[in-house]
Amino acid sequence: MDIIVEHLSKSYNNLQVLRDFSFRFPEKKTTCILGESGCGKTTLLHIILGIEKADAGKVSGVPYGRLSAVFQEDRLCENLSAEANIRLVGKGRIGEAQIRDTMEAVRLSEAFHKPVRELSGGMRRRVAVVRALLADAECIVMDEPLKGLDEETKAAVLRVIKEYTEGKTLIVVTHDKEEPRLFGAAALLEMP
Amino acid sequence: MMPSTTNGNSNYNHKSKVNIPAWLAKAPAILFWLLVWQAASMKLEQEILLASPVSVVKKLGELVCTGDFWRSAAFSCGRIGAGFVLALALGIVLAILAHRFWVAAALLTPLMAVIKSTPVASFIILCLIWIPSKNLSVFISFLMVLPVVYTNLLTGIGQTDRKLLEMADVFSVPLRKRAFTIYLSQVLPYLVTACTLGLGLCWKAGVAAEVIGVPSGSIGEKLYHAKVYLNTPDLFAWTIVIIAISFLFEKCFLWLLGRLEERIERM
Repeated sequence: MDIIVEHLSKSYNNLQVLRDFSFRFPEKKTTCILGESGCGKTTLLHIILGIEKADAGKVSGVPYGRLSAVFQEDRLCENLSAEANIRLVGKGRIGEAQIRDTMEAVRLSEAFHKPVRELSGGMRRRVAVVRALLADAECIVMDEPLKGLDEETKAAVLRVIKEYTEGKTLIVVTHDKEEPRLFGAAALLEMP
Repeated sequence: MMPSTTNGNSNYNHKSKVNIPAWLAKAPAILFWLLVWQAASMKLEQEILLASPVSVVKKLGELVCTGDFWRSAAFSCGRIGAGFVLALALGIVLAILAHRFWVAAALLTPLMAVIKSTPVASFIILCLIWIPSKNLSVFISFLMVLPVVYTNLLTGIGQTDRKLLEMADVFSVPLRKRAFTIYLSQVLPYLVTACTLGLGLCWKAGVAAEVIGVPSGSIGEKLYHAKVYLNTPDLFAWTIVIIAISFLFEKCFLWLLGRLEERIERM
């Protein structure tokens, strides 16, 4: 089922972030949301994820309970290891070998047992990406998943994201105009 | 030539650091106060007013060789420890309820405030009417620890990172995993504070209850008899025993919480 947002409006303290906004995110395809900072990309994602409520409008087709996300902030449990953070969202279905393989694919093998608080910004980002990919989800929402990664690592992470999200609904927020092409986006939403 | 930041002396900024164990670092201060105590008792020359450290240690040596000492220690440890554990369990449950339901918070807040501000002696005297003296220390230590655990835990739960909870909602993380990983890891420092404060309090209040209730075979009874017969070395020896047990309780409990923290990190 496509994810449809209709006539969404949202404002914070009299600052209108979304005004009568509508869009259709095609099922099992990748959609990229492109726009400058402050244009409401993250707010739109939060409304789709159910974290925030719109002031007006409607969202339908979101498979709640089968969702996963890479948030703008990594939102990892600082005291837990990278592996434990990934396993946390797995409903008991993620095997250790699968976690190891995916972490290796994003060049994160050395972080397996390390508490997240000891990892660099780029490593934490990749833990958040692996967590989102290994959760049992039909729809994956990613807010700038490649943020803070060098070119080589970015390519590796992109490859893994594309592999794991094939046949799933993927919504990616970015402000890099190159990324919709790199993700092979079927739909592009350019926010003013 | 490269400019030097160490004035050519590489050892200048590297003071040699010797790791002295914490107990050894405190030893001079303890020794100082023992000497002051000994000097004061020698000056007074009246054991009834101030027993000397030597006679207290002698008395302590005699006590630990008797079966009665261990029976009394076990009696008080069991009851005061039970009061603490009960307060810990109920305090955690009540804090969760108060966090989840505002009605529970509204009802519990004034109750905890009253318990916290009421003098322990008032509770002891009042409770003596309802509870047999041998179980009084269980209830009194429970009552003193409960608000400490409740208040600290409620604050800890309230401070849990909202963004992590939102993440758990999005990923539909089951409640059990949420409790052990997100809540427990964030609440643990508050639990450690509650236990440290609570353990000190429960021993003070529990022994006070035993001294007033005088249950047979308790440490409180021994303290009471020491007071009645003006046996000051006995009084000091039993006081040292209480301090030592309280200290051991605290260390054991904090060790257990430390293991729990390690397990959470490895989860």
